[in-house]
Amino acid sequence: MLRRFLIKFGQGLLTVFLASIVVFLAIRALPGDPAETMAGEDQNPAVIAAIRAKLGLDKPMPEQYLLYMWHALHGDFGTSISSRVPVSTLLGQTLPVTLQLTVLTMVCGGIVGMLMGSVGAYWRGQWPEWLSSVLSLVGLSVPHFWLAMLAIIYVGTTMHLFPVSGYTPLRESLGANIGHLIVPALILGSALAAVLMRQTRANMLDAFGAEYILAVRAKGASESRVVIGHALRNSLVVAVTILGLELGGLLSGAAVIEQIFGLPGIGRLAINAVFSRDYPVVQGVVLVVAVSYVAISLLIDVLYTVLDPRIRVGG
Amino acid sequence: MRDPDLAPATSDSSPVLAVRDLAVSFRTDHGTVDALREVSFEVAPGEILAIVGESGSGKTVATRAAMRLLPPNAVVSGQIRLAGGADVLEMTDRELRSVRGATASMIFQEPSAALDPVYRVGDQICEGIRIHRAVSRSQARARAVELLEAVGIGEPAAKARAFPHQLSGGQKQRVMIAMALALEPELIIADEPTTALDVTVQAGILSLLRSLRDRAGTATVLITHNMGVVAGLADRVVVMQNGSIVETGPVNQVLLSPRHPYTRQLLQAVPSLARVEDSDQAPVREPRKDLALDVVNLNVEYRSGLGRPPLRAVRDISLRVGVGELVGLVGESGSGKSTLGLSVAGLIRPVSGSIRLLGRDMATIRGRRLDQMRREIGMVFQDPRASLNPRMTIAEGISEPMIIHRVGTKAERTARVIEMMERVQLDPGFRHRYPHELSGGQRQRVSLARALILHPKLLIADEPTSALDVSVQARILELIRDLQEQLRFGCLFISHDLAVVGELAARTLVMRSGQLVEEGPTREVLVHPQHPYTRELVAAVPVPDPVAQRRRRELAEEAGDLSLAGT
Repeated sequence: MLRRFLIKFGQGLLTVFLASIVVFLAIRALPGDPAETMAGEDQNPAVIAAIRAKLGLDKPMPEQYLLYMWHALHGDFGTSISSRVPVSTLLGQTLPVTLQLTVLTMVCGGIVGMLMGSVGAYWRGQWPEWLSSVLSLVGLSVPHFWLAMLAIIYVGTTMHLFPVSGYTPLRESLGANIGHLIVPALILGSALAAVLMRQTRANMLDAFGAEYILAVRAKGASESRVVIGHALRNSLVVAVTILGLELGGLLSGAAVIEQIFGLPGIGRLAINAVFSRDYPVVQGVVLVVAVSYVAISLLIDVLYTVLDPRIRVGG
Repeated sequence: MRDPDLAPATSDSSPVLAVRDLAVSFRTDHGTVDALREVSFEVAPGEILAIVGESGSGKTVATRAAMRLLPPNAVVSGQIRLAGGADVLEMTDRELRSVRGATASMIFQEPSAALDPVYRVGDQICEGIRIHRAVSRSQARARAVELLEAVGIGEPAAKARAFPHQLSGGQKQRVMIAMALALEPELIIADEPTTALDVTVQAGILSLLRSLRDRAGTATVLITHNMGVVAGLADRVVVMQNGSIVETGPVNQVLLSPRHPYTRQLLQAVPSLARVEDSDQAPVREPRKDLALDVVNLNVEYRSGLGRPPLRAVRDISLRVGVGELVGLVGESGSGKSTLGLSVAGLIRPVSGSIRLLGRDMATIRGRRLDQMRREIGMVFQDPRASLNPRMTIAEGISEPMIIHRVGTKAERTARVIEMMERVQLDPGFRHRYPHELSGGQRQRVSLARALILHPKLLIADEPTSALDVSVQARILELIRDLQEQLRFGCLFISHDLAVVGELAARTLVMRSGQLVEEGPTREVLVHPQHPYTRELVAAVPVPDPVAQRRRRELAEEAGDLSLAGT
């Protein structure tokens, strides 16, 4: 168990390390020189050289990399070129927004997907299955931005159900915070819910055919215990796998959704940084996203062993 | 103890289960299929009623209907009363749930499939208790441990905390029995409770079921296709064929003087050790000079996880199979017999030792030349449903070895496929069908045809009949014997069933924990076993004769109580 965790942890570290190298090299391979951008209108070579020296860009690449990582480990990701604010401050402001959005998306998508999957499997061949299949098809095939636009028009401006722009921090008001995030989370979670629904339905159908479900029924268990306690419980491992796989897509989808709903998240920060060639910010964002991705994957791996005892012993 | 020869005593008490005119049909996409036609039977308190019949005879359907556990597309009519209560078919869902598990409970064929893999077994026992009784969690736990002890599980408190996959097959079936007993029901329905288990484990479970009836007086419906199990356990027998009851009677009468031709046919199909004892076959000690297979000091290992020693599945085994000779290899699950078969077929590389096929060493060659040698080996697996590609027609499946080894033109292949199908007594008109359109016996004939299409010198048959009904098994065994005489291939016949090997093999090898423990002419090995393990195996084989079975049981009980041997 511990060994399995340590191996996964090592793999995670390696992933972060490789990601940091790729980002570091990719940014330096891009055309355009940050020093020139910072120098502005006045392209004085002396000024550019000075900026370069200040940013450490005159040093050899490996040294630059090691220096960058050393500072990053101490929470210093450099300073934003465009806003002159420390990157760590920017990340500190935006990361909680995206994390909240992602977690809420996984919760919403997870609940909706598993619920619809269970409904579809339980009432197989009847209208609830038909309904859940149609919803799943819609969730998979309609693009996020289109759903988002519809939501802004109808939920936001026609019905005024939820605010569709801006953000309220959790500290100020929980209700307002969730009010701002719930519509984006539902839209971002629609594809997740659709995939999860299909997988859950297939797994639940397998489970309903399994002998242990028959055995539970033969014990006199109620239908809710049969469906939730046994069939759904056995489908959870696969559901968690899918949540893990979809996480990457979720983080990149968050960038689009944040932009549309005006959420000050890390995705929006990244997009703006790329447009303004704000390299320290881009680099910081990618590193932090990689670390959170690895951390969540690790968490899911631990969750596996809780959900399926057979994995626990398998080592 | 009750006299098993008596008919159910209906005068002093009402039957535990009374089934009247039960008919079941299933609505499918291709119309309605009748599964059960007007079936009536009763089970008296404390009685063990065996329902025997082959797959599709309706024996499982009849008992599942008794607890209304059939799938929603079943149309059920008739009347079913449990313990003199209301008609099960008329009950509301709530009434039905109060009966399930409390008045009648169920044991299933495959204990690893019938236990929920994600819950501890103790909790699964508690679940049933707490559904029906208002007891605290700790009271239910204590009862679960008590039950596990009662069904002969050692360290019951520790085992209650185990997950199903941490227990052996026999232990899992004991857990299922404990679960079925939890609320002291009046009726237990046991659907093939020992079919998935090894013979020695099977003997333990059967003796446990017997002692439960003697101690608690629980009536049991025992569904089985194994006549030996019936002889050892049942008071009365119901024989079913195609959804109808063809014969009912006390066990001695049905097994010893059956009235219905189908019952006689079923009994004749049972492979029996007695027939081996009576045969006057000349003992074969050594294979002939020309060897099909010569294995010397073979060792096979499976890699375990990092830093753990490898698992040695086959230890230092030497064996020989002559051309045209059929050698039986017997062992229980985990004995390494299948691993041995796979490594002889060149599918698992041994760590040491030599495998000589027709005088050439297979263990040292690789690549194309190994593939060439594979032509000389045919292989038949246990489950034809799993070993035939479902997307290939029968003809494509049978001819695939010819395509792989580039033998013949398309026309020649077709001719050879037809010839081979005739040899295995399959209608060549079936060749454009798919495996799922055939019966289990027909599928196994296809596997056999595929294995023999290149006329190999060696056939490895790994439990080829254990997934089949007895009467089908008898016909497949006869076919293997005939084909072997015609085509003169050497055959390594792997089986857990001593009686099957006894019917077929001239020489028999007995394997345990990766080692050969006994070897010799089949008759000597089965009639005068030398090794204690072989003796144990022979003693555990159920015999379809109630009198002989009782005598054997008494002998076994003198030697040591099997029910307490924690299998």
